[in-house]
Amino acid sequence: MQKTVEGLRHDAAALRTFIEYLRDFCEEQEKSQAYGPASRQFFEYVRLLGDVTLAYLQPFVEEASNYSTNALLFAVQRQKLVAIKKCWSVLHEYIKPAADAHSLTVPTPLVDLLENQAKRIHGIPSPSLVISATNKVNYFQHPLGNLQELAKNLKKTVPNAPDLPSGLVFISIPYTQGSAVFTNAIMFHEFGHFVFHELDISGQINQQIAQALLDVYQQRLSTMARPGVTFLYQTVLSWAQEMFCDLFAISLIGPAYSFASIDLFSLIGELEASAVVNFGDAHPCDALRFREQLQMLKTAKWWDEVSTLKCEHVSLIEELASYPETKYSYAPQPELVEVFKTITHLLAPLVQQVCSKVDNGLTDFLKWNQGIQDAFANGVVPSTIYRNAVREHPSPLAILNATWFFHLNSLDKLMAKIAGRSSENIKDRSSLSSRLEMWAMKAMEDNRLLSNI
Amino acid sequence: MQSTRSSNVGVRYLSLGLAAQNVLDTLVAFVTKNVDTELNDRLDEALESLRSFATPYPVGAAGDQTLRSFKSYEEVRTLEEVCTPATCDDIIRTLQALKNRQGTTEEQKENGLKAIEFFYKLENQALRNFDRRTEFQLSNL
Repeated sequence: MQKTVEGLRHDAAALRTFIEYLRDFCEEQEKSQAYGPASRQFFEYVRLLGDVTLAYLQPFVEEASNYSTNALLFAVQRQKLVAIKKCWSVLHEYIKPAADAHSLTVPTPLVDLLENQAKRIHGIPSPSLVISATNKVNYFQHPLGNLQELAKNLKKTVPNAPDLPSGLVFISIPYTQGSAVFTNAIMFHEFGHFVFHELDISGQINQQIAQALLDVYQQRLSTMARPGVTFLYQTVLSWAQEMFCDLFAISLIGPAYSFASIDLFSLIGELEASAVVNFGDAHPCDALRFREQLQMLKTAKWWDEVSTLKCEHVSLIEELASYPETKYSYAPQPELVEVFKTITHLLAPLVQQVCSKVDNGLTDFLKWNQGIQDAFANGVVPSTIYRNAVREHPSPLAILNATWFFHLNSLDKLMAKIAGRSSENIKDRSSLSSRLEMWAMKAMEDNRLLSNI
Repeated sequence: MQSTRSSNVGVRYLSLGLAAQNVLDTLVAFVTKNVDTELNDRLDEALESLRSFATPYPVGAAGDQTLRSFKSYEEVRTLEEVCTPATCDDIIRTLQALKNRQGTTEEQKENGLKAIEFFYKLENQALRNFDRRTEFQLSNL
């Protein structure tokens, strides 16, 4: 760290260059690409914060120079500059992935569906999704609470710093999956993290977690280092949050979420028999996750429909759900699984309470599924369905689940109608699956237009 | 959805560092310019956090204090790295005296400088932890 006023000036100038680059980058991206309103809000925040930080640097250095004869006070000023620099390094991590996710690379109909479903959840700010493109084959939700807290503290540090708009939800999707319908259903799980935070779900279960820790660990708890005890608590809370998000996603979109989970987990090798009973540092084991999902699907009556499918996804859910609890394990702290087992039952009722006004799409699915299946089987985009000689436009939620049903159970029917294609040919299957996703996405987009006519 | 928590750990450390910096800003203004706008507000926030850290666990009952101390692993860890519960009690007394403007002007400035030293160390540790972005390993228990 620089120890002289000259060194501080040098550091401040370097920070100025860094901020100017990021601010200009946001401006250039917005000029050259189209973005959704949430991303534009975020870029505007970066630009405004950039302006006020740049304006602050000169007076800051002049003020800091006054303390150059007092080592402690000058060190405090130097450290302040370091802290501001680190805040910008955090924004640096958010900006590029958000810029990469312009409207041509984002599953806009699914984002719209998510935002519409979210409007029915009482007690959360109207959400705006900032989609970002990650180079990981995975989905993430960046906890807005953490970023909001950071922005709040930055506001006290940098004069006139703007507020980070409330309701922004940062969700990262793999950069290859922008046009995907199937795996992007995972976004609904990621959105659950935002809801968990906004509704302070942890506040509704922390008493029970603390009590369960005391019951299982008893006096050992008092001999542990305090960060260790806190970490135990946060591990259980993290597991609870993940499971809450699973059940929340099912409440919003039904079985499409479970199917997407299986596809994603398979892709990253999570569903190996030896791995499905192991808890991770942040996630409960998959066997338990799918057991709870199955129960939720049964409670919501979705399972009556899902169980009619003849595909491995269905049998896999049942198989995972049937693993005995005694097999569950968390190697670093086996007792922690016992703690979690005692609070698992609290989560489904909490989700049901949060989603009490949300339509899980089953009624629409039952109304339009057959028509959608027939359309797909004939290679037709199911934007308009004739039921009883009346033109209807299936809802996006019905399209999402019906597309999954067709994908898992009936792709061969379509394949059989296309000369030279075979369901045993991997290339044919792959290209037809992608085509199916395109049709589904188109039908969801059409719904938005046709429903407003 | 299969991520570890580490990607989000850093932001919490940085927030803690900035919170310490905000207390420092008001302390520096008080010590060097005798300006005490917002000083007590910031001291109240800091005192609440430090008191929950200094309070021992009431093991055997899941009381509010226990839950509060569970809230932020990053905060607990960083505080533990810069002070023991005993030194924490000492800084709490100093901050309380500052808040009440106890003693002569010189004594108040001395208390202010002592508090500055503490929050400087706290911010420094939080920023270091942000850089490392390491998490506690359960195998350390």
